[in-house]
Amino acid sequence: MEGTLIANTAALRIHVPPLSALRPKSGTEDAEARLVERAKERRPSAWVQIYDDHYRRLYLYCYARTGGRAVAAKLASLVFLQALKEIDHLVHWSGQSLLAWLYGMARSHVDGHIERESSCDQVVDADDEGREMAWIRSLPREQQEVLALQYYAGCTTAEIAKVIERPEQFVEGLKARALRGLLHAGKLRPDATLPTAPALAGERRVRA
Amino acid sequence: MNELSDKQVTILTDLLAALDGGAGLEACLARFPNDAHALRPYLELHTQLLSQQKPAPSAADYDAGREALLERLASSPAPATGLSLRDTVAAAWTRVRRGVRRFELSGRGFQPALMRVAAFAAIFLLIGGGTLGASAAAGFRPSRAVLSSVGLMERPPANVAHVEGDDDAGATPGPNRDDDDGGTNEPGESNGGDDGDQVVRPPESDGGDDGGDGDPSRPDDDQGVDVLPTLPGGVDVPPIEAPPVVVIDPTPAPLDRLCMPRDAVQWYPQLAQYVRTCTADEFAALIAPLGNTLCVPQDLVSRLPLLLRGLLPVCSNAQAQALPWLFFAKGYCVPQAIAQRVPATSANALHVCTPDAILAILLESLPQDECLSGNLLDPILCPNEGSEGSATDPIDGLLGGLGLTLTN
Repeated sequence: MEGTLIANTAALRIHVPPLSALRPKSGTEDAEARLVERAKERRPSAWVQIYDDHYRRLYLYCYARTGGRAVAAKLASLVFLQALKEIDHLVHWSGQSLLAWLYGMARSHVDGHIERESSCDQVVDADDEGREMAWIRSLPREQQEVLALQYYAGCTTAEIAKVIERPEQFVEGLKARALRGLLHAGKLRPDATLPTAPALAGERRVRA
Repeated sequence: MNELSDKQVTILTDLLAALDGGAGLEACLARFPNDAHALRPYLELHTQLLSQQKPAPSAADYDAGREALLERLASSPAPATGLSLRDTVAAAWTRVRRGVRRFELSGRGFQPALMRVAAFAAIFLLIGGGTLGASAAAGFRPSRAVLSSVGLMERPPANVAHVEGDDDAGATPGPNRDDDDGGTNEPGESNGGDDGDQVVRPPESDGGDDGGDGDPSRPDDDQGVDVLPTLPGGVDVPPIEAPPVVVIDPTPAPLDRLCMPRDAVQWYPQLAQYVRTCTADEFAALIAPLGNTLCVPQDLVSRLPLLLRGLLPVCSNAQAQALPWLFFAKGYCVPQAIAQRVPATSANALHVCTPDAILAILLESLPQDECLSGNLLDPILCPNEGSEGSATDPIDGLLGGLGLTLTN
């Protein structure tokens, strides 16, 4: 580019956030930035707060992907241990949110777990109630992500977009395709039994 | 169950977004009566999935995970401190003083003569070390080290303007603004001579080779960004006075808007819709807390060797994001018009872009459909402002039509 100082972006590795991410930070984002700074200082209060804020959602995400409660609890716990190890590498100001960072690690843990299970030629470790969720694991991986994040972890579309690093419109499209895949394959119909939570609701059925 | 057509998938996508936004199921379906029958099962499934009860983690698992985290936290190594060189030296000196004091208090103090010798030796080491450090640092630009350490490659622009003082008229136009005084710019030193009057000349020929990269008349070709590319049209822009150095608040309140000087916006009409303009005074006030320096974000500094950190002005991440030039940045690339306004000592540390480069960077960082969809930041920057555009001023018309307000 004429008259330009060239940045070697391959070596630079500086994430350039989209314009929408460059708006003035909200109070929530500032609070999260401060929380990350405190976590980098290894302050227990910060880590307790991160754990309390995110454990349940990470657990539900792992549960939706693996179908096993014990496995989900173990993986969610591993995420925080890894986060503690790698918190110094979190570049919060560049638009990478703590939530997306944690889910990125959870995703790799879940993928690793599934890969290990499949390489051992075993059925994915699923509890009785989790086996009902084979429908979600039969989808393509990216669609699984969106369904697990939205319907289990309770993420908004904007949060999912951050986690999977895709535009929100793309997330909505993924969601539509996932729902279409589910219904078209007949794996789950509106009058079918949805995954239940025995610890809370027993054999609860949701009907159309 | 019927397969959805592509059009219906598109509708479904929109309706899912509408449902997430709080719209009702029936209201959504009523918008597309012809497709309602096919879409209803999907939307109902969506709402069911959202309302289903989630399995809660057991209290034992929750506590066990928390316990494991806290145990690991207690045994994790202390984080690398971001102490500056000055802090490090000060801490070391404090420890020495405490040690000496402890010796005195414990009755095992040095003899007075020995104390005197030790004090002289310490002073000699401090002064000698400082002198050596200063001489080693001459010609050393921290910013260059920073930029090179993060992989930035510098290439002198082909289309450059010569910035010079009155005393070197007739000198060969080139990128080196130091050729008149034979030295590099030190902080506080004005470029181009004692009077400080600087003019920016447009290049004599756009496509000529006389100002090319291989010109041997430029002895300082690798000495950083000493030359600012010319503005379109070759406008003379007087340098602004350096604001007083202000102590940087490490945790400033986030700025409530992103601004660019109005004259800078004129050169980037394609970008004008994304930014809010301000006057030169407002812009100076905006960057004043940064202390007239090229500030380096904290997390970038944390990647650098400890010794180098003490030489860099460090700003908070919030400040870095508030910097107007970083708003356009990819590798700290600065628009020409802004670089012209920055004091020379700071300009040397900046990477300068052409308008085309900035536009390419911006377009590259945005999905195409978002770029074309209008003013992305408008609802954020001026949610309650009306249009004040003027039909006679194209900039006012452009920004006013986008709901932006110009202040003079």
